[in-house]
Amino acid sequence: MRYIPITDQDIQDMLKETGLSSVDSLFQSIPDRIRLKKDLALPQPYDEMTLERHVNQLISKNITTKTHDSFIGEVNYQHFIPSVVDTLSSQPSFYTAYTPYQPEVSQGTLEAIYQYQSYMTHLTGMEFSNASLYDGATAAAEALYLMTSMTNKKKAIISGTVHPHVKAVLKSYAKNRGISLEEMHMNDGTIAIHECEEKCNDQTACFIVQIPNVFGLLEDMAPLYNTLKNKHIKLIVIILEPMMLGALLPYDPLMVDIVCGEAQSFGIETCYGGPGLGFFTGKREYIRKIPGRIVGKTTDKEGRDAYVMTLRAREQDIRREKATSNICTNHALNALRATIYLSTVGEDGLREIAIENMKISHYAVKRIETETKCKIPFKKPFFNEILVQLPAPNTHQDVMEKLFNKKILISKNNMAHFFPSLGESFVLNFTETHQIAQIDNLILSLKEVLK
Amino acid sequence: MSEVKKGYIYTETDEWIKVEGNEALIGITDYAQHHLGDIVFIEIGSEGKTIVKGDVLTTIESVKSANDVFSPISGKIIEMNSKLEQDSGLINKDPYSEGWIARIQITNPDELTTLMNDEAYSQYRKE
Amino acid sequence: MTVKLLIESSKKGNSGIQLPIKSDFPPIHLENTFPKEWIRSTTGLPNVSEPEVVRHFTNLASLNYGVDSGFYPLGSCTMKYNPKINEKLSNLEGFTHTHPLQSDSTVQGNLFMMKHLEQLLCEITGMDAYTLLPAAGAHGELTGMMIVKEYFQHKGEAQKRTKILIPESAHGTNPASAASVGFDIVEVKSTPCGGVDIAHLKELIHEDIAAIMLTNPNTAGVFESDILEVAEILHQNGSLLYYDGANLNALLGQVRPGDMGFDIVHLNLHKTFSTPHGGGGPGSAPVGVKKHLRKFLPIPRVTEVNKQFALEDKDPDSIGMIRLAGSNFQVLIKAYLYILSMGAEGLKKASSMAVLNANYIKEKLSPFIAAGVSCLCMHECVLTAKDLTAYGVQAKDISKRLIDYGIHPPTNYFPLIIPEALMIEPTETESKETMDHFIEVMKKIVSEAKEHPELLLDAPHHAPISRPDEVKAAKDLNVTY
Repeated sequence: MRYIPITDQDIQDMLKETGLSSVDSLFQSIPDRIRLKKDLALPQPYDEMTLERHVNQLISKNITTKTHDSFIGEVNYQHFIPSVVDTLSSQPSFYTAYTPYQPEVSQGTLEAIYQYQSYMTHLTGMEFSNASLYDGATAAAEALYLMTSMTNKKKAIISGTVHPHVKAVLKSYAKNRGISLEEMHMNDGTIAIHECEEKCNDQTACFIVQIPNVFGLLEDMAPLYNTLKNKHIKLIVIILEPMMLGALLPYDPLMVDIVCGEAQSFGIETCYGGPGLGFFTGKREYIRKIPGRIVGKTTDKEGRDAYVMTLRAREQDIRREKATSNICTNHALNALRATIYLSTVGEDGLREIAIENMKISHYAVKRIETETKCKIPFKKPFFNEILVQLPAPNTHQDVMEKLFNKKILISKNNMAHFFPSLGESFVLNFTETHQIAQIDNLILSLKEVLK
Repeated sequence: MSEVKKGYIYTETDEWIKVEGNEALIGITDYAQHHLGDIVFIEIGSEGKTIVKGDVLTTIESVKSANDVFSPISGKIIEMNSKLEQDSGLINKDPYSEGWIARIQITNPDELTTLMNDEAYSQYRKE
Repeated sequence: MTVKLLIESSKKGNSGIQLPIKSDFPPIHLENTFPKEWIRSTTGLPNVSEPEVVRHFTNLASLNYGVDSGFYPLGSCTMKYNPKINEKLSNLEGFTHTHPLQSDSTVQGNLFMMKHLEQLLCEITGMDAYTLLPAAGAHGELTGMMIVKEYFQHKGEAQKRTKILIPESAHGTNPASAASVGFDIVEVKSTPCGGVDIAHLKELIHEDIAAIMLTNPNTAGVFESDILEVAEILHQNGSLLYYDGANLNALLGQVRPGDMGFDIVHLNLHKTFSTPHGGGGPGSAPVGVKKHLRKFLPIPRVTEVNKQFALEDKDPDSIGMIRLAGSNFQVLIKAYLYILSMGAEGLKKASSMAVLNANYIKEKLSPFIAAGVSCLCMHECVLTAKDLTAYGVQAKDISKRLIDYGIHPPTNYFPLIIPEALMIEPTETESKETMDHFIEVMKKIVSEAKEHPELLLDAPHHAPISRPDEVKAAKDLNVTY
């Protein structure tokens, strides 16, 4: 077996030196009743060539952006990834390393993560970032847990315009802690301000909003800041498309407690949904209770700069059932990819990419509105995606299939399923990866397939 | 050999009490601070809070551990040592004096009778 | 070598991508489109060129030690070799350029892989169904605990079943996960070999016990031979058994957790199934269940009808969604390819050699550093450095000195039940020569401890940094530039 460097001679030598009669005797403590007497029913071992053939067969059954134009966003985004991201993150001493518990042999990982933390802190306008979580929804769940336990209150209010997947995850998580999650309706695609003011009371721990929201719109939080502050309600902002942060900061960081979400947009492939990159940033006052690992800068015995995992006393291996979160393994390698990505595009590059996203999305949306039968119901500021309504009698399913035949992919999520009042509708996403010819094709196809 | 202060009263979970009239000054012993190593953080707050014997008074963090400090008596927290916010290391340097943690108003003096005196504690923690 | 932060080399005008971006689209005027207070011109990121980025991260990589660098005997982490073909194939565009919200008919390759992997894992572990959604062991445990809760909710016993039994030797994520969903933890005493103290278990068993969380072999590396009795006691009480699969590498092809009586199982693909650790993640932790718990698995689930695969999310009894659309898909592919590469004989050889290697090291080293437990160890052995404390050195000092010899330290101070613990897990992907070298080095360090303890106390002497001030890191918190 090509991964196991032990020969039959080695086995004999080791058995002799340990005084064991056979390899089998090593398993003597397993009760005979359950000891496997025959081999597992698995396929015969594949060599590399066979493995490659098998994978090529699988891939032949997938449709990708190689042959089709995809306008799918919502939870994961197609962005251009500079080649250095793959090259540098595939260095073996990065990806085959373990968690940096021994700082003397992990300064590479630790310094990279320190920079990741710094970039995310600056981008979100907050005061700290942790070293990563799993994804945008679980990051939001951790934020919910943190705010409810810190305030000792069991009620949270969530904007109806948060993505249904995030809402579903928050619901699963909230149920187990006896947290009541109250969902607000929306008003013309964004938060209903007056309803929020009515629903918030002194039992409310926090208010959760997503920017850009599920319809791609940038929520204006300004009318709510004072209400929330006066009622001592914490504000959690979820971001699933952080590319917007390159050119926009659509909230007042002083009025926000936690900014968390999904950073897959920064140098990570969509790869059928994962692994992604959960990020978690917030106000300094929470730092001793936050979930996940965090890297700190210090000096060593010679006075040299050194990076270490710090505030470990929050974590599960030390606090056990009293830990702030159960998380152990995080998404470090993806945080590294994000760090390389952000370093490569830089401040100026990220800004231009964000602006390019907006140029393309705004151009496309204008054309959809003026040249096709689709309706764009919400006329509020948006970043790179927008909700599109289909006129009767067109159905989402039908349009999706017809567009597929024109080599166009749209989201399988029919928003009517989550927001019945919106009717047959879906979200279209545009990024810097789309060319004019592809937008032309989309417009033409929409004109052709819509009844 | 860790220091044990004469005249103080002690618990099995390594807290000390200095009775001053109907108030009790509370901290952790030299044995405890040594065991914890360098203390990096202690939560200071809770003034005015009513506390029951055995409740968690606060948590002390070192680099590799976090330990609860249990209130040896019931009462009301009058004050906590705000100096510890800036210099948690005072607990290591001077656990019986400058490193005091809380001042509690005693509501049930009988609770003190079940605790150890300095000789009993020295025996208990004999290494 | 100190590597400067990239922000310190930042210069306006430098960039790692071509600027300005070539655009065929009409311009957008931000001031006309958004409130002006939303528009920002700085974000605190550096502006550096591509060669500077490359040199920076190449230099950082040289400060790191990975499994590809050398021996990495971290107990309970299973630092086995990460096959390169799996890296190559999981990075093909046919996978990476698929989006989780594409309609099911357009990703039949992905869904086939997921269903096939589910079947393979069922066969390897003796379980009836798997969810591939959890992102890491702790997430798997959380999912498992949610399933336990839902199960008793359905039986009308939720108010009664409020406690989870956890051995005192358990990994910290176990009680943290159980507490996370609102269970109370009851600690079961461990035997000197790290096993469940059956007498204590019998005392604790009560109608308020929902489940027990166990790992087998236990965290001291010893197989729980009483597992069938433990399963009987719990099942008779109407409770469930949860298996933490962190140590499964010892058992592949030898015995299956499903056959031991476990109702719920989580696996660590980044341990047992060779996917890379990535400096701390990402991992993946599929959760397997027996038939009676299948309906509680999180959604969406992969279903197959007439060779057509689909994602089904209509299950009313499911615990719901536990993450955004998708899974740690790229990690799943690597584990899948590993299983196909190994086959039944390869997996059995892996566990056999993993256990043989650990016993070989224990046999050769225990005359010099005492074994932490007297029982037969499986894929990892725990040694205790407590006898060396007489010379003023601790387990951590031995670890730091190993770095000077170019070897990654083993796990320190875990499990908590063994003082000055050094937990050594060689795995099956190490040669006898590598292990012999490790043994010689450890023997040398033990004699250094006795004759020149300062060599250990000040170690490492030959690393880029040495003994960073962790107290200062925690007190003078600096987590961002």
